[in-house]
Amino acid sequence: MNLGRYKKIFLYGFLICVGTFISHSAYAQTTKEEVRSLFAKANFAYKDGKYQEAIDIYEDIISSGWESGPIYYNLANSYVKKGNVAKAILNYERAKRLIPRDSDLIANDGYTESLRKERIQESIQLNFIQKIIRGIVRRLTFNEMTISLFTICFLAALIHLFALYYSSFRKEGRLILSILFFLIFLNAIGIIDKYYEGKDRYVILRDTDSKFEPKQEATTYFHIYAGSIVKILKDQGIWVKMERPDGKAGWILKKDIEKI
Amino acid sequence: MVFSLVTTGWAEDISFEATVDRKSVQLGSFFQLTLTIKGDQSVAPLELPEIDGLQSQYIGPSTRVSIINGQYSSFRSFLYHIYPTRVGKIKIPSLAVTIKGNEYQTQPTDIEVFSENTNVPIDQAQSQQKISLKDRIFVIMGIPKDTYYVNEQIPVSIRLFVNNLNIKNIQYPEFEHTGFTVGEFDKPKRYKQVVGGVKYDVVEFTLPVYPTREGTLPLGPTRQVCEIVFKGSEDQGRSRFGFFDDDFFDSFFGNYDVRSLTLESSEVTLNIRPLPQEGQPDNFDGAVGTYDFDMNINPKEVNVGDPLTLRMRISGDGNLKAVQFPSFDNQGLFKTYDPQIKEEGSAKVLEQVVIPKTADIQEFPLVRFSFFDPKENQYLTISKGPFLLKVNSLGKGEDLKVIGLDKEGQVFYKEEELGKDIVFIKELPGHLQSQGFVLAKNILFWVMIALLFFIWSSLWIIHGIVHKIKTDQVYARKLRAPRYARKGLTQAKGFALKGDQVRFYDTIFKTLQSYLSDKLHMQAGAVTIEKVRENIQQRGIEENVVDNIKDVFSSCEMVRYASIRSDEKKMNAVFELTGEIIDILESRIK
Repeated sequence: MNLGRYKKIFLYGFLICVGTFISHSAYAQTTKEEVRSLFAKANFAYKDGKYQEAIDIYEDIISSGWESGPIYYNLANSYVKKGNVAKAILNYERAKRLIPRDSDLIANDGYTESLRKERIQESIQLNFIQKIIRGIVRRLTFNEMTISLFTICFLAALIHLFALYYSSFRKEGRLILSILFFLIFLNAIGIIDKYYEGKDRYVILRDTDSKFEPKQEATTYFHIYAGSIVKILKDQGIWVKMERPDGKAGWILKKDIEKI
Repeated sequence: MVFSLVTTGWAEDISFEATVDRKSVQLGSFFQLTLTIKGDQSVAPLELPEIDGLQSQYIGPSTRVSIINGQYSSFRSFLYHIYPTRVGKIKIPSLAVTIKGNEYQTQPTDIEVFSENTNVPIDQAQSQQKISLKDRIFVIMGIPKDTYYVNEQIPVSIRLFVNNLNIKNIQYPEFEHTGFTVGEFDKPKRYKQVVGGVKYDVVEFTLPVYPTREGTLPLGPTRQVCEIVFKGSEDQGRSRFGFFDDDFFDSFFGNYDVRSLTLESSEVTLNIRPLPQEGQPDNFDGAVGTYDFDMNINPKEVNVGDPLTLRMRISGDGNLKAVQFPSFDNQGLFKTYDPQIKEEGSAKVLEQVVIPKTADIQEFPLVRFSFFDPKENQYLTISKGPFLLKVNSLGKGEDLKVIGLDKEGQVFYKEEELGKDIVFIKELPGHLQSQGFVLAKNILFWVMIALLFFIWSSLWIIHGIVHKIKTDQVYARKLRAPRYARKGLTQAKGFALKGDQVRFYDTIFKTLQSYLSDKLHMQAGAVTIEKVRENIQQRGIEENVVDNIKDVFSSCEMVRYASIRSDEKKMNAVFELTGEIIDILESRIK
């Protein structure tokens, strides 16, 4: 009787897991094959110089629920060709979430940066350790960092068990475990840093004035140019309070920004 | 002639007096004040108080002695030059000094200061006008209008007005210019100007400034430093000989005194507007002003690999330093070198060596220069080209020339300048995933982590148990007791079914004895009813359990040693009782 109950629990658990997996996979209605076909079609349009057509198809792919680094990258390229630097920066930033080490992406992102009308210095100065962590973090995706943390934890568990069952390995085991725990600590900090760095980041889509108050007639605090990356602090109706990298904050219209 | 201000302080042979060399003085001149202490040489120079309408400058001390009718007297004097700053009657107040605990004072005195235009002292009524020095020398900062665009050239004029004063060593003015970049001063101009009926000598400094940000920005105030030459008294250093009676000798012999003067103008507030976004050309690079743009290439016919010179010239009014030369559409047809840029007056000139890489080139491309003209209030674009260019291909066996140029006998090589554009698109879509997929939010990922955690913790626990069994005998015996007991009971049941009473009771006896030995951690041979009772009582277990154990042991001994036969019912009862004893002890002893 008891055995039957355990079987039921196991069966329900299995069904929940499979159901979650299936529902997650079925989230995007367009199939991967269709996406590949659309991607190729957009690439042909790009090569023919029909950049608007290419943009429309890449955007269609994204609105169908799929994403990949190359899709955002190609879309950003199309926007550069169309002269829309803000949208290009937005999509390069999105691509960086997925393929941060891609050399073409790094080159094009740098080129687009040079097209920006202004560059604002970050107000927070990082120390040496923070710079190293930030440097590593920016070269990894969030999922890669998660897998990395999981792998190190798994290795630590293996080493721990190995040291338990083979007492001759205990001395070396302790040393390796200390190193692995340090790596776990760094990885955890990196994940937290990446989470907060990537949270609520928006790109300014068009040149606009930042106001002291969420009112059209309010005094202009500063002018902010298209392509600038800002953080959103508050949301109030059609207005949002945003903060520039140098720490200056002001109110702008919600329609003038898009989330990365 | 010396006017004594009368000594009022007296001691035995100490006195203090103040004298002036004149009691009437012209504005722009100065007179000398002498403070003399008789009978004491130890007094330090006195600091004069602030006197309305007068400024003072300490010149230095002097000492003298006199012996009259055999009586010795010593004098120590302090000399001051006093400069009137307004006309009218000015009072020098009583001055005091303390010597050896006694205070000595001078009498106050009046000084008449008259205008330079009148040779006589002005009367009391006239003195009410109080023509101050500030009205005779001042500085004004002038800007034509109050609204400009960011980076627009603002002509700033700083004028120094001087009326009937001798001024020298006029320095270039300095002024606050936060939010502006400042150009070079032009050569100062000198001219005369009548302001409010008064004729002034004017020194005008002009320079351009360029606002760097929008908003309401203050410019100034201006500080102008110069030296003013005050005329001394007639008999002060003045030569008695006509030959020496000119400015040079006056100055040389100290008839004039020079004082440094800092003048300050008021600040000017400007309204700086941003450049309009409407109509801004794509190639606009921040140039603001009124410019002309010219460009040419030379020679017009070259071989592939031969250099030609591209020359651009931008001239006009504006911040030339901030003006960027336009670039041409290279299309990979030309190799370009770093340009040489220089300024020639109000023009900026670029010279750049360009080398055609192919004979397919037929023209040098068009170049457009865009700027915002604040006078026209609009963006203007000047286009030059395209220029016809004939590029001859290389002869057979002739290689492309060395990347370098021979300038005045010196060969130098320049780095290749690479084009700038985005890298081409990607052919494959890469790893496709549903939007916003984050591994950390995936339930399967967490199930896998939970599973691995379970395996790891289980292995750890198992290791702990095994380790305890190996190292803790009490624990090991307790752990194995029920297992062995179950085994023994199974064996005994087998004997019961076969009807082998002796071996049944023998097995039951040994099983129970072994169980109690392990469970209560006793030697197998030491398991007696008394010791079991004692041990069980200590653990708070009911007394009837011991009685049951005693019954089982008695039943076993009856068959094993007395050879008394037992029936099946009795065997079952012993078997059940043994099992019951083991269950009770298992539940009570942990």
